[in-house]
Amino acid sequence: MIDERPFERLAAHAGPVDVDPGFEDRLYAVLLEERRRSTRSWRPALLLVAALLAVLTISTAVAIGSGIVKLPWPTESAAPGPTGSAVQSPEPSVPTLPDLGLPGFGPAPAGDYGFTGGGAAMHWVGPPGDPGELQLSFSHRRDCFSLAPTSVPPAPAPTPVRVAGLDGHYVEPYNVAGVLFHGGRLEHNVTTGAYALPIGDQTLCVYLSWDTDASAEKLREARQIVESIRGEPYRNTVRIVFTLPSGWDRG
Amino acid sequence: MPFETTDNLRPSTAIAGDPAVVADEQAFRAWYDRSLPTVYGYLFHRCGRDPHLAEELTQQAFVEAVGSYGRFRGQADPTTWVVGIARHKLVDHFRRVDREARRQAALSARELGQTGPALSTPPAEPDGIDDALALLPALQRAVLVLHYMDRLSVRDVARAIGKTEAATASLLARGRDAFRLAYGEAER
Repeated sequence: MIDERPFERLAAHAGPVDVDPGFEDRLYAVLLEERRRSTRSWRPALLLVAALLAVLTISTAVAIGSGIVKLPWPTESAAPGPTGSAVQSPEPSVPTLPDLGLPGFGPAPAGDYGFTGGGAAMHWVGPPGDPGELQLSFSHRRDCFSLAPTSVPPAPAPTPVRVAGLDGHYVEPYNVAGVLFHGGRLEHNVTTGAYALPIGDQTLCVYLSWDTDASAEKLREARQIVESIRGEPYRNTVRIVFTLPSGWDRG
Repeated sequence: MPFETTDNLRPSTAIAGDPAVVADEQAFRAWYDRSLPTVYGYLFHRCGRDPHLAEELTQQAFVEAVGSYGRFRGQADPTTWVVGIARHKLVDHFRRVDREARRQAALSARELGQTGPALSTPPAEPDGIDDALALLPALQRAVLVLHYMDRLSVRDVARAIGKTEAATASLLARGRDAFRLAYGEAER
């Protein structure tokens, strides 16, 4: 006869437990910030509309000012006056890309995501039994290839590459501890390719890392993400938008 | 804060599906105060009573819940809903541990010039449910926890861990044998 008692005990395995008040407060602070961010998530659409309106207004003003478009009402002959300044005031910088966020900590649905400034990393983790993980890291740096590379194998010289309509440079392998999986631990079966992509006067660095077990299809999919990048300079940094297939996360 | 088992969850119609839970700070705090001990307790007892791991998974579950609250349709109590997210996080954790164990085993085998998996030595003198569970491979632990503690059917466990029902049943059978053995050792 099979003894079921261990499983009855397992099923009843519970009991009182206290939550550390310090953790409770810390998590609440994190959630307030997350809540602020998530209630703001409807803003990208509004910002896009506002940006389009601003672009339309500026274009119209420029067209009228330069005489390309003539207004239907009669204009008075201009009285002689001082000529305009030779120095034009700079046009206001209007972002044209929406301010999108990164995927959450669990597998995210397919769609457009993005980030502004700083750096970010995302992963794709396969189903159980599939060891092929991938990681995409973005950062805004002056020199994408200045991180101290690990010695195995040595990084070759950057080669010109055209990605996402941008003429940049690419190095593979570029195995740097800071961009590998699991908190930057060097793993022997991971390869990283590094992109330096010019966005206006800024540089976007993209580090794509993959397990050697990752399928060719998944790797192609990851490169397609890089190919989908649209970027623009934004307040001395960069804003980018990219399209993710489903299943990527920030966890 | 006292622990509340999932069996004790009662729908709170005052806040179920109400967007004010996230939009209004008072409602948000009330939801948090009510849900935190339940979610934390749920995870604490399923991840070997490791407070750090339970805190990490709790944080992941709450952050995802807040970020995706717009998709919550009020079909369940908000606390039960977060527990559901916590369960996903727990399964993800078991999968990660399993993957890491396989990778380590493969590396060890390569270093030793062996082809078989590396043997792990169980810790000496285990005692109780947690220690017995800790001796099992991560996926066996996952199916036992989901089947016995969460009372999920084999079909639902299979769906949660992303395996077929047959593979899950086999995993459960092996997990039961291993757990009975480990628990017997612990009780000795």
